[in-house]
Amino acid sequence: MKAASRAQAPGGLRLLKLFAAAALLGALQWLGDTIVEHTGWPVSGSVLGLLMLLALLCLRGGVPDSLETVTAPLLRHLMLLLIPSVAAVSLYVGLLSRHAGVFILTAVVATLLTVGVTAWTLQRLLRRRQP
Amino acid sequence: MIATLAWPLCTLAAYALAVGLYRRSGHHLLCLPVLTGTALVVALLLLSGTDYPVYAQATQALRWLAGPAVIALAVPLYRQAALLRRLALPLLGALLAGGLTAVLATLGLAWAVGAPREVALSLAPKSATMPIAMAAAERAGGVPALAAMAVVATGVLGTLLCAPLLRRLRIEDERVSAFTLGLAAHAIGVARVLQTRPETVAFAALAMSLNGVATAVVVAVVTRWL
Repeated sequence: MKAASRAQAPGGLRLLKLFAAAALLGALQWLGDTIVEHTGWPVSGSVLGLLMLLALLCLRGGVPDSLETVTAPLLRHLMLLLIPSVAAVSLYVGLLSRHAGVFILTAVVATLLTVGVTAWTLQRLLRRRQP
Repeated sequence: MIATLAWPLCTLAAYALAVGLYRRSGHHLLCLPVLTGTALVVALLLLSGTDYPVYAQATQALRWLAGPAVIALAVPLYRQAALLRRLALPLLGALLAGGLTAVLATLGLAWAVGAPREVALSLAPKSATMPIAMAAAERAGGVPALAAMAVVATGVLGTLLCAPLLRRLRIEDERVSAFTLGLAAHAIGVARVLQTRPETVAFAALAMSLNGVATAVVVAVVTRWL
């Protein structure tokens, strides 16, 4: 039933809804950035935006099709969007080589410790819950 | 003028090639599209003699989209909300353990090898997503650029090391590995989960967002003590 009514929705309306969903994401990003700028909270605007969208979805009680359509390609190609920022690595070769030792040490050892401790703790706690 | 069109297209082409290679390699970790795609882009920058700021300016729109993409993670998170709420206590316990380990182990190691305070503080928030880590390092008195590099190294290494380490620890639960990737390797780990085990991505997204906030708080508190 629901699928049938969706198929009958006029193309213009659907396009408008998609546009509204994209605008919502943009607005949340702007709102998050603005809040961070004014409060100086050490969190990024996009994480605040994530929390706000989560709150909105909980209030609404469901994910609208238009939002689903807009977010799916963003999530699927997250790595593409990260490439331009990661390429900044080429800027800091000098800074990096000066502190290469401690950089590599913490990158390998602290990361291994973090992965190990997180996984071990979660596994333990989950198992205690479901024996 | 041409650059503003050419560089986003080059980035897209590099990404398309990287994804093709990743598929062909059977999703091998060393062929992770962020790694190979970035390598291609950096090679193109070097070959054409383009400075990074020029490239960054040209790809502004792509970089900006990463923000809404992080916001979009609310959708899978919401879908799994009931499940996550049921497991709230174990997940929060793991967050506390992992988040503290990431910051304190980094500071401890940096202190042990006698790294300057500003370097140690730049590396401390490296398990958080890049914007959070850069902000946290700057507020603590570190170098944001160094923080950004540490974030990339941690994301890549965390994603590379997670599967072999968990195999060694005999942990096979997909939820555990997704949560661990999100916590330790932020957006790069989440992107990996999205590509390999999309059904567990809520765990990774939850871990990334919670640890982003937790890292900022822990770094701020620890800095006050130091």
